[in-house]
Amino acid sequence: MRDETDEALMFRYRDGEVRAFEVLLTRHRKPIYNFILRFVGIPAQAEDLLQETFLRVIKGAESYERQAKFTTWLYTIARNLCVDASRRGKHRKASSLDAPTDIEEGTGALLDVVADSGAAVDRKVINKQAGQQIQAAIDALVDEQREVFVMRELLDMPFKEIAEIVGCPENTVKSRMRYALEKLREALDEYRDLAQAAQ
Amino acid sequence: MQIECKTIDERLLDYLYEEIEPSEKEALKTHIEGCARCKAELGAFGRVRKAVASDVALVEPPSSASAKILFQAAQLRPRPRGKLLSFLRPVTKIVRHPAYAMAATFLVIAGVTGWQLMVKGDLAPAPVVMAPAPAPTAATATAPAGQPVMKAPADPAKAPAKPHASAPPSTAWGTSAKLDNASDEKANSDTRRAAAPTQTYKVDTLVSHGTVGFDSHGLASGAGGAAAPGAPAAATQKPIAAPAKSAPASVEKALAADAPIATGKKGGKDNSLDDQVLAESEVAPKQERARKESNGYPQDKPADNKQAPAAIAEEGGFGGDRDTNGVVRPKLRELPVPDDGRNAPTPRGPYAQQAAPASPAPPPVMPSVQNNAQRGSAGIGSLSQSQGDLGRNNASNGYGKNAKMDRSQNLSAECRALELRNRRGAINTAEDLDAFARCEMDVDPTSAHAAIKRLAEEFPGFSSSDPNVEEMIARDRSQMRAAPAKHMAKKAKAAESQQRNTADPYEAAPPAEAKPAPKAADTKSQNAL
Repeated sequence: MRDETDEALMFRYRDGEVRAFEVLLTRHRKPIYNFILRFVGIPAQAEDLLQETFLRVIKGAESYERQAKFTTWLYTIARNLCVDASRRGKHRKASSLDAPTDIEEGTGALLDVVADSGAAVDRKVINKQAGQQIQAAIDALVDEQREVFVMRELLDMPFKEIAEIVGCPENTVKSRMRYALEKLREALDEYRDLAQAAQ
Repeated sequence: MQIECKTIDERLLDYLYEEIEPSEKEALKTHIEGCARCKAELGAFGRVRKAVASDVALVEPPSSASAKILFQAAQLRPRPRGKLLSFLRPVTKIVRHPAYAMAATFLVIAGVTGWQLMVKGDLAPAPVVMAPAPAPTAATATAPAGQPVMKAPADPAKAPAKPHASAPPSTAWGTSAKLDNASDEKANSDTRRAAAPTQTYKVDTLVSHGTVGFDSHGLASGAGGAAAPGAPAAATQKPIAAPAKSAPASVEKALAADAPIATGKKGGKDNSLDDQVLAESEVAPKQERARKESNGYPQDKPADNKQAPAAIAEEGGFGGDRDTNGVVRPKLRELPVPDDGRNAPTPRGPYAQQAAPASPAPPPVMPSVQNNAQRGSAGIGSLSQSQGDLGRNNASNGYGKNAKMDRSQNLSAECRALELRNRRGAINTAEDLDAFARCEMDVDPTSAHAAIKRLAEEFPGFSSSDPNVEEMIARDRSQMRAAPAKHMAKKAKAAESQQRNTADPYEAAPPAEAKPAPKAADTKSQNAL
């Protein structure tokens, strides 16, 4: 059963086989959770949205037809939930220390601003900071760029499928991806300059 | 070069994530290795990917979330569907469309409305009520095609009067023409029983006396004996006033009554048959209307004696006649025979228009048809009871519908003329009898035999050219020689019967118009002088 495709497992679950759904959940829970987590940024909310996403899959199993890939359907559900949650949470969004102050201007995170760049740090710490810098840069991406970057870079989804999930042309997806990569490169270059200066 | 770098910019991501064809990948790789700008661009994106891959890892979701999801999946799992009904899934999707619900609602409303209208009787078909038959030889009526036949309440007195409408307006020619097959006749007989008991005897009485005929709506369509211009009013009224229990006797009189009633002259052999029939059919309705008005006889007056129809039927039907073999055959030569429809009785009454289209079209003027009407029917085809009786009798003695049709088809014009003359008793010569016998040999052996018998009795020296006729004549003569006493007794009985019929008061009554009013004329002539 573990070698079966997502669609076959879904048909099995539609016929009442719960074990098939368990295989599906095991196969997709981690990537979908990370996708949601990267979208909303809050683990608790990501957990709720993960449950909601699979609950919709369960409810829609009875009318499931093989019209598209299962992953496309699943990530479309998750993305729609994330978009709705993101819209609801914007007006109560609190400033985070990790959140970028001005994404468009690319000024970086607050830590970058308040950190004492003159302090002596060892290489280990620099590497750790590099990871945080990458995370901060990813989080600093616009939602459209971030979701494309996450799906392409972290979840290894082809551009064509991403375009189907997002609901836009493939070239648009590639364009967003390119912008996301350029921003991350700028963030890494900045961090590299800081690291070199520290050494 | 610049163009190639622009192309690299467009395809850089595909090259980076290896979503490119191998051949194209080699071309791009060649350019990138030779182009510093493109190589630096690709290197920068490569470092980002490495950094993300090394520093960003996928986070494991909480196990509690997975447990909750599995629990919900088990709780809300879809019910297994039967494979037998799987093909109905697309259908159910279509049926759930609101248009189908609206159509179903409309059908239900229309059905309920139609049912209510039917219950109220607005759209209900004309009920044809069947009442218990008073006698097995009850009347029959030919219902219109497609007219439903419904059972009647048990009590005949409660039978509604409307069923009269279901019977078609029969005509003189229609009686014989409308005698359908046996099943139809039986069904129509049942139908007719519902309406017959109250009016049958009245009509039958009139017809049995050869005076007047009614259709099923009580329409006078011409009288038999009273149809002649000179028929006395008393003669037409007498049968009506006669006691009902004397019906069998009246039938006997009617059977014995022949042309003299209609013509006013005994025998009536000097009159042309066609002229007579035409005159009868033209005058009879007027006289009948006048008679009813003067007599005050209601059309639907119940019969006094319900045994009369059966008794009449036993006598072979209304206006029946006996042939030389003693077989009772219907014979209403006095009744009018419409020739081209202009003398056909016009349906009247509340249901006349409804029933009018059901009446059959008048057949062409054919002597054979007239004969059929005279011989096999009551003349006024409306006499449904007589239809039934005659139909049965005809079926038994070769005078049924099919037999008539065969006769009309088989008889030549000469034979028809002979048959007419025979009906009128105008065949007296041996040649005519011989020709008549030959004509009737195939279509009506009884009549042929009667003619042969006459030849054998009245013309001892005659010999026919037809070997069959000659053989039968010889056989009759040998029988006469073998039993002369029996033959003489039979002949005497026939003569006595004829004499008794001649003495009938109805026939003996002088025509009303025969009484002249010479006084006024004489006065006028005297004044003129």
